[in-house]
Amino acid sequence: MMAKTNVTNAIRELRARDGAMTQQELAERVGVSRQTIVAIEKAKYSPTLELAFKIAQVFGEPVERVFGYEGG
Amino acid sequence: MNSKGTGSAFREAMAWKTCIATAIAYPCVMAVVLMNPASAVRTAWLYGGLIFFLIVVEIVFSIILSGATDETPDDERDCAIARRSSRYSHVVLSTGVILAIVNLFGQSIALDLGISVREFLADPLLTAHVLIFFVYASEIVHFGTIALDYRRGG
Repeated sequence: MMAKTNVTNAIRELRARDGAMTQQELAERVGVSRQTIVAIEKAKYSPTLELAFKIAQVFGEPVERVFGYEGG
Repeated sequence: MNSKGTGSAFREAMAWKTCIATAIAYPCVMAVVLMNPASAVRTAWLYGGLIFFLIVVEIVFSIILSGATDETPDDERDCAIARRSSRYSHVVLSTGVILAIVNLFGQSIALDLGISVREFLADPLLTAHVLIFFVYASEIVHFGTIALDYRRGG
């Protein structure tokens, strides 16, 4: 399996908080495929800064609340 | 932007099929080449056919994907996967070009200095064999990387 990235995220929790938003809905709102959202949620793909801000904007949260960084 | 869930699965499936088709073509051509390795004309035709096949495969792959992307346009992950596959295949192709150049000069230098080399190294078609192999290998790496990246989620 592909190694996980060091970028962590709280997308799953935030989707659940926001009335169980589906991955598809989030994908459509930020303009990517559902698979890209799946890959980001599973920390297999690190989004660009632009996409990270768009996702944070959808949840109405600062980007550091949605994404974090673990690693040396 | 549309984001139907079939986009990545379709791209992965296409990459696998193209990779397998490419993987089958080369051994078939090489089997015929090795039946009569001394026939340069036949080898040239076969290699020409193989290159033509690879070009057609690349065009068909692009056309089918562009048709699919009318419904599911490339997003940043698709572009990242495409960039990564191009980078890897570029490394393979560059290696082949360097080896072919080394072989070409090696043969000339050995000839100038009167150094005897193994028969297969003195084959005037060896440069072509090396180049064709690495062109083929770079295509396999290209489509293989795309397929694996979609499979792994990267």
